[in-house]
Amino acid sequence: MIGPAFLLLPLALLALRNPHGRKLLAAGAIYSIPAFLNIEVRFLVPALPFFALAMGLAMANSPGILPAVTLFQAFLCWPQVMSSYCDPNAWRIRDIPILGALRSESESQFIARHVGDYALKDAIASAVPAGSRIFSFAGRAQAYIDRDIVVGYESSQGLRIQEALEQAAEAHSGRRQAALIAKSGGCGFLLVNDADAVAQDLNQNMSKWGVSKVAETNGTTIYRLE
Amino acid sequence: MGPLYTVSNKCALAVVLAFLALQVHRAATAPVSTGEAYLYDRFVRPATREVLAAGLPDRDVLYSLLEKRSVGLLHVSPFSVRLPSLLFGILALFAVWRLAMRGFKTAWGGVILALAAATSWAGGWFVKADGTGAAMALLVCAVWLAWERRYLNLIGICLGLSIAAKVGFWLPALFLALAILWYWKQWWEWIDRVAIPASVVVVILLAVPASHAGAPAENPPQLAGGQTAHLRSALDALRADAGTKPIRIATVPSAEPIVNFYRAQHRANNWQRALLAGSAGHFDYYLIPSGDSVRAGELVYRDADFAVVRAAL
Repeated sequence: MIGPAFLLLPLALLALRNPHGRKLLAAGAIYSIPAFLNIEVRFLVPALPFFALAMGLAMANSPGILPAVTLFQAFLCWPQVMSSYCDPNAWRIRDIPILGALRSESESQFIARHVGDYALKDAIASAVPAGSRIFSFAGRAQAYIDRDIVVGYESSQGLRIQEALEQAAEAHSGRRQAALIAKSGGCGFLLVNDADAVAQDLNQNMSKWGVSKVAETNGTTIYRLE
Repeated sequence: MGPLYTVSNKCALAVVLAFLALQVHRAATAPVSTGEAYLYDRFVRPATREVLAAGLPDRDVLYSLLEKRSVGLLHVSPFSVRLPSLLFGILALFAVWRLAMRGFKTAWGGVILALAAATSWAGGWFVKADGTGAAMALLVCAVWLAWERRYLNLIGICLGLSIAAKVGFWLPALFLALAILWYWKQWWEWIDRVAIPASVVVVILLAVPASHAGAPAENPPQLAGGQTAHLRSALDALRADAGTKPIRIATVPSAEPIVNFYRAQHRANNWQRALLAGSAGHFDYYLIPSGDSVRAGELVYRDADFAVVRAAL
């Protein structure tokens, strides 16, 4: 979420009448090129400072308007206010963590409240030997997990393993071969969410897959490839 | 401007005050219409979070916000939901007076003001709980400020607020803005003092509600003035009959917002929110047009427009 004040961005074009405004708009245009290749909001972030300054220049001759826009943006971006109008899953600052900042709440408690995958940290540390690689269908909070994780959609190797596992689960055959593809890729463990496509088949046919369950936490199961 | 307190001006002021008193009386006593009750029930009564989640398009955003404040201060009543409109009526008359005093001789200024008061009384724009009166008043203010070339920023703000008060006023506001440009003939000043403030105000007030208005607009059929009075009598009869026991009421689309408004006004906590006839579940009372076939049950009230039927156990 970048705040509704940026809906006023077209007004920034009025900064073209000012030499500094023209430079700012040019810089903003250059930094917004990645946004044309990927429409996710985060790709707009590099351009926003330039556009925001250009908007400020455009509105500078309208007394009272800049403070009004600032207050409007501050109000609508306040964490508690934001929750009333934006999507529940939108990336945003959800609260002001005063207790965490003052260390009244421990780091691990704070992270566990905010990062669901943090619950996997201890399970992986005890079940997966150091240096082993793990295959996962979904992205993980790797900053907190001290093992290499191959995520399905993040590499060609990951995609190959993911497709093999999913096809085997769908066809109800070739499970062992699919597991061996993962193993030959250096992955000795699988990290499977309950919602993943293969989760049910894997859980019900562990011997056919050639896997064994080593840990289960927070809706995620860790399997060892035999 | 000529002298302010001439005999003719004093007479005009007396006429204006008389019309204002009539407006206040009408605002306090006239039964709420379906549109007024709908605006209250869908956009003022619920919390902002619920309003946004419902996704209904609100065409009177500024008025809804002011009505929320008014109802918060004075509790729900026909007067409290119309109070913002009344105040905008006074603002409109003030702007007309300033315009008239500037554009005409003193005596004529008073006459024009009295005529404006009479016209607003006849039109009833400032005794309706919707954004029409507010939007009109703000446009008149914009004309006055543009003519006097004072508080230039307020011109754009008035135009923006006018659109926020009633979205349908975007076209008159646009034409007025272009007329001001033609009158001033100063492009950059118009941009800075009219276009930018108006755009900013519109975005501030309408961006979030408009972005959430994904549901199709509801247009409940409107009741005529006499029908709303009959509906109020029917509700009084229903309330007397039901007493304090918990009840569920089924009614027709044109009456449903008014029944819920009446429920809030009289704090009838034993009433569940009225639903449309045909909804699932058992109902204790049916409030239906008197022409409809009376359902199984006991007739509690009937007039030319509405009937109240207590359902058989």
